[in-house]
Amino acid sequence: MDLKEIHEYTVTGNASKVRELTEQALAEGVAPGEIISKYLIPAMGEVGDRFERNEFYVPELLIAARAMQGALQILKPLLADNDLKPVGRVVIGTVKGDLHDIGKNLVSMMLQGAGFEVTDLGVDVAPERFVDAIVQDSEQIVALSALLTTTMPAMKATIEALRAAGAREKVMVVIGGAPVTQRYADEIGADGYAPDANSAVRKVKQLLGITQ
Amino acid sequence: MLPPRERVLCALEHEEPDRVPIFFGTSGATTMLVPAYKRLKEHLRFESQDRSFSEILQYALIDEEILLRMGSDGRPLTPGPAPSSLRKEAQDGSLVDEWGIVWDKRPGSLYYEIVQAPLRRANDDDVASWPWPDLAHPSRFQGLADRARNIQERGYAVVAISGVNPWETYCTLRGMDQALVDLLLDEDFVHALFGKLTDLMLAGAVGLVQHAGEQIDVLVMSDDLGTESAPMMSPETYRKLLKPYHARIISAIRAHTEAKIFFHSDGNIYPLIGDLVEIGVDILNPIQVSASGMGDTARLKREFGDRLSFCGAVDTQWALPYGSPSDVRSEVRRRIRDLAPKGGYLLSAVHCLQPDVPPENVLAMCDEARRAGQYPLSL
Repeated sequence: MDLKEIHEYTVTGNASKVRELTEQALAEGVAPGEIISKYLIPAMGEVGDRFERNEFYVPELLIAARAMQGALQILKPLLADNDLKPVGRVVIGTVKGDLHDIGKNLVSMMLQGAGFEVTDLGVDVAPERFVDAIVQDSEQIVALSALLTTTMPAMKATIEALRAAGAREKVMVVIGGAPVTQRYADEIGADGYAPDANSAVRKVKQLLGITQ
Repeated sequence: MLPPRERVLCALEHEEPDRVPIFFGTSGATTMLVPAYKRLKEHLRFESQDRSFSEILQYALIDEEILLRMGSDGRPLTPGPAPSSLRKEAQDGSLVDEWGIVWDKRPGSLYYEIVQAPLRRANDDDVASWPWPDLAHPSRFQGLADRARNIQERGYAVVAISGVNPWETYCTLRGMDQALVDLLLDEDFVHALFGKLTDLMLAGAVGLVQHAGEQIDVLVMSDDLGTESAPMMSPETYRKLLKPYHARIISAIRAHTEAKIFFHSDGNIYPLIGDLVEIGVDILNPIQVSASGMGDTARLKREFGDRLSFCGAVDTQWALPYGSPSDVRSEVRRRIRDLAPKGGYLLSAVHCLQPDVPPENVLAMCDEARRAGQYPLSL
């Protein structure tokens, strides 16, 4: 079989073909970690680049991410502990008072697609829940999303909660969402800001010093 | 000084009236959220009952005294509610609207949010059998022509809210993520549901203009097609799947009225503006200047200003909530300078003012609009 088809069908968002080819590859003895790192992750990288070039839009991103997640559902249980280390660990959520999640879900999917382990806390996440989600001694990113000018202040409250818990120095905070700007990130002491899902992956990698 | 209605009509014919018209409280995007309006009323020491266009969206109906204070040149005209077997208030405080969508406001939250998208897992048969509201029911339009005539006789432009928003309603019925996936993976379903919503909303809009079309100056329709950075779907997808339906609605409306078609879409819709002009849109709103592609309002005027009027453009993501009154005044002057030469601009905030906008900024916007918007412009 041509394993490159896994990449191609992921990019075009054909979830059933990706599942079928993934099963076929496993049956032919291809390692699960290899399918992820050589085909799924580069495929999502291409999807992200095409999104940034305005060749792909949100629908194309969504179906590609669903195709990838379908394959990951098959592959993840088969990975042994040291088969594929996560590139990094991210805790993500939409802040308190805000229930919007499509943008946050896209960032989450693109980060998974880039090999990150993502803990998604969902929506309307109080500052304390972000604090609780940080695992001791693991380098982590806390990614905050807000859609509204009226819920953005919860980002500042979350950073303050991290500081009050003595956890601020342990993590990097990245923020995003429609009304969010670099200026606002600077004002509240966030470590980074990204305007969309693809640049969010780049920013997170940059903050963690990951060059690939 | 021109009467407000003539000022608006003149600007919409791409001529310069006495000053740039102001649209405040004329539609959902040009008004304030009820809690924001409360703040303004307190600031102005004005008392009145809270009223809204829509309980769920909390778009405030602004009192006449405040509309006068703001210098608004239009007055809204809304048909009555559509009969629906689905609308109800549940015991837990959640609301079900005429489409069957369940909304809830969590304690401490400003907004009603969708709890349940009823057609998330629907198929074509479910669409056919859903108890749709009757948007063309005559009860909606009783007395509308008289109300419109009254607005015109008082000298204001009649801004009719048609309620046409098929893509937005598709997204709320289906769940926005599923709606976006449908566009690529289930075109048949898109035609079934979007076609159905078009039929219903077209019938409602035609009912509206058949009853009051002669008295309507501006007819508002809405469909959010853009995100902060780009259109929500590719232009190719919009043109293939949604544009023909928008075209059909506008065409049907135009058969019954000479009202100008006012199309509201948030976000970066720069790649779609030519398409909207092509299908008959006369006024584009809200010109979300914080979105990519929409901030260079001079470019928008240069490229489309001969064929399109603009309503909106005063920034609501930074200037109005976070700027000083001086920043707001500066923003107003910039947008007038860019969009108002040769008419074709109705000034308003980009979107419904939220409670984080200081009342001083709201007043600064309208006061500066009247001061700096005098023709001939000297900015």
